[in-house]
Amino acid sequence: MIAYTEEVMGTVVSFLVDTEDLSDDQVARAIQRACEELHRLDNRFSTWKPESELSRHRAGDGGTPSELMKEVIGLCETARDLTKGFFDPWSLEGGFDPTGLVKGWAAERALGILREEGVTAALVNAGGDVCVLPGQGYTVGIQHPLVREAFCAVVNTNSSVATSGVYERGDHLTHPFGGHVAAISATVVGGSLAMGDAWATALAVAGKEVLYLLEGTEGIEGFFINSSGAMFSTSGMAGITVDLAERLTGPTLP
Amino acid sequence: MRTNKKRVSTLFGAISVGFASALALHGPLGPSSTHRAISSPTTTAPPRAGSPGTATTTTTTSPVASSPVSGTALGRVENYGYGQFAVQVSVTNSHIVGLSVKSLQTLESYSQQLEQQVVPILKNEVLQAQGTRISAVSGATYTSEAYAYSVQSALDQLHFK
Amino acid sequence: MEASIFYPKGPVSRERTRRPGAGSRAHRAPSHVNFWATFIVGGLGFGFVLGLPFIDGTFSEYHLSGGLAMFLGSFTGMAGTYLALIMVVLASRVPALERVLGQNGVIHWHRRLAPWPIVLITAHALLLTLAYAEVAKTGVLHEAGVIINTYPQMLTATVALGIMVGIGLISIRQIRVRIPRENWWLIHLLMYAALILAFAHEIVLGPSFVKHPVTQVSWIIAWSLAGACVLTYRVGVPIYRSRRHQLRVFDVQSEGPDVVSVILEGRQLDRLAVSGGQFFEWRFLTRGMWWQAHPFSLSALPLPPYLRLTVQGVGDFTKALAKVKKGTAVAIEGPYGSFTAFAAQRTRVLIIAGGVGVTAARSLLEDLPLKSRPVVVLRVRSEAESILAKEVEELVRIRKGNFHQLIGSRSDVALDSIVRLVPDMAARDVFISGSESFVRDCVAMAEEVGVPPHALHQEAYSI
Repeated sequence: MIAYTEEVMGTVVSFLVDTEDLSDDQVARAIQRACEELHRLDNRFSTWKPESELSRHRAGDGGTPSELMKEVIGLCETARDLTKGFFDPWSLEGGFDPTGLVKGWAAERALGILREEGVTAALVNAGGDVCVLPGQGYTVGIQHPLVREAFCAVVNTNSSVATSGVYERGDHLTHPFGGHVAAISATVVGGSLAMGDAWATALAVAGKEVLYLLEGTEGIEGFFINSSGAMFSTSGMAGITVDLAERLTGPTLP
Repeated sequence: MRTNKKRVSTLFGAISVGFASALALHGPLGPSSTHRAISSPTTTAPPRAGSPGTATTTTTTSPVASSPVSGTALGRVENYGYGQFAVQVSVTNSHIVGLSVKSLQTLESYSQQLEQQVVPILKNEVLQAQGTRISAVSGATYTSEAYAYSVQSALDQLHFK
Repeated sequence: MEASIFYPKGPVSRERTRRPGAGSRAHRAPSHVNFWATFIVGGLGFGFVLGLPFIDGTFSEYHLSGGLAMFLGSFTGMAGTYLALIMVVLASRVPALERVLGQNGVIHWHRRLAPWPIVLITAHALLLTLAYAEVAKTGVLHEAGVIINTYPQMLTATVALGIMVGIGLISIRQIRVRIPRENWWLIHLLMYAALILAFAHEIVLGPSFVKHPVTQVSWIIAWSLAGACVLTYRVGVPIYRSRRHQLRVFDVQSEGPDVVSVILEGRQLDRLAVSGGQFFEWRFLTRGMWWQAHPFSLSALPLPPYLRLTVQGVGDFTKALAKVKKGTAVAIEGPYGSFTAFAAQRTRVLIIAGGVGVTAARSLLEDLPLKSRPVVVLRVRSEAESILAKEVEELVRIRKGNFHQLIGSRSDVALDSIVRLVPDMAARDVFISGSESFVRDCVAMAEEVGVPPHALHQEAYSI
């Protein structure tokens, strides 16, 4: 098991790679290639870099979008449809801002590179958005929005976990239809991380309405927590939630 | 059509019996719980001083990885406006005495949407306890600076070892 | 065996006539066991359904934001929908109930119960919308839009609610009287559509049903049974009986001014289980009449292969009936009615018939045993309007009873003359048939004399 962190895209991306069948060198090289890809994508999609393709696009600088940009735009459109407009990167101030989805999408591309290099089990955590090559499945804790030193849930996943929230930086999420934001934190488990990002954002913004849409979506579970601390989740959450007490009554630690 | 007393009383009788049977079946027909609540402590060791009853906030700002679990017993945490709820975790010398987590709210019954408080699962205990392998923490995006204080960084450090 | 009174006029061979024997199905008593069983099961179901909201979790959260409205919304939904199910069962005229209550009784309760499901279900919709709005902390109208547009099956449920409320509104007396009766009846048939449309949302959203396959299946079974009752007893059985007996108009005979007897000829009439005093809903399958079914009592027990009904021409339909062509096919629904000899519990009987009410009295008489000594009082406005009086008199004579005919207008003939004629009225089973006002007055008189409610039987004709 090799762990590695890389600072990129304004956050820290953590890698956890299973070294089975591969030499340490091979793993190191795979991680290196993945990080290079992350930097390339950062250069293309960062809104903090005025020369990035996205910044130019937002400034109205014409020119045909690259294949990658088209892919991102396509994903955003799909996400907007699926979330019935509650995820809408076009309605943000400053223009089209797919940053929320790009982070997860980039992490998945990095994960894809690891897989190309022969890795069979790995986890990539891009600033709080997690995607995995399952192997045996991974256990992911979800940050409690109100109690710093705690989780609000622990889940098993073999695909992705995305969380959206307002608590970390005091970011505000905007509600595309002008209402107030429903949740202080929302998490989506399952499916692709890019979509999970979009769903989590939509879920945080709209709460129950999007939760209902999620309920009708196969293979994806989610929950949100409102400002009163109440949690609402899809019916499949229980199936992927780790039942902690059974695990925690272990022997005394030294 | 005049109301027949016999029919009226039989009707009320039948309705009452039906009603009572429904109440009697509250077990099988009750709200379907999605979580098995664990309520019994595994040992009878009493909680430490500082025990249930004292309101304690648990925010710390130091990076957590370095501080081992040291038996911080916790009673109530936070008041969310629906009344206080207990973190049913009693810790004695890093040994989890008992843990009770409330059931997750599910969409299956809209009437159940109203109230389920989220009991924080103290990550100290969880991370260090054997048997749980949490590989990562998902949360709202942290900046590079904030990462240092995040649980993910604690995990990463654990894994670096 | 007594000679039958009812002879069709015209060439008919005696060999074709045959009276039903004593063991025939025509003389089977209504089953009180069936009635009570149905009644009790209905009550048990209602009680059970009322209890469900107390155990499914909504009740325990009533103190929370939106909780009380949520619970009440759940409760009214269950209560209202169950009552709607009872309404359907009543409308089906299921024999277990109809044979004891009579079609009039079944319809009476159906009407009396009617506002409740509509009001409760409307309250259910409003309360739940309020509750969800409180939980989601949005406005009620916005939340209504959310519910209708995103929750499963709620669009159809809302349409169903609209139909229900619409039917409720046009049934308010002041509005109902302004609508032609057939139109009102056709519109109110849409209630079936409403119930079908609303069904899915109950199973899919109701807290007592979601993730509880047992309650879901039970609910489905209950509604399937109710639907089956309607299809069987309002559609299946009438079609079957009509086809089996193949009734056709044989003759139309005048009985008096504006009054005709229609003689029908059919097959296997010995198998037609009908008691004296009962009636059918008749559908004459000819142009202009086939789409209406009207209730008329038999004015005699079946004399295979003949049936007789006697009708007073008061409206378009009944006037047309006097001119109906021989050979016209007739479809029947029934027999209905609890105005029968089986309803009598005492040994002595008094029959009071006014005007056209003599028809039911005439056939009822045939079912009374030979030594029963019935007292029969016919009340008619004039001698000419006295129909079937000779037959009635003969039947009474054979049974060693007393026959009285009171001729004159209402004001001339006070009803208490009946009291004087029948001094032991309070000890008899009293059968009253005639117009609604006549029946009402006679019932009042009988109650005053001291006839207990269980000994009073009535058949009122709406003219």
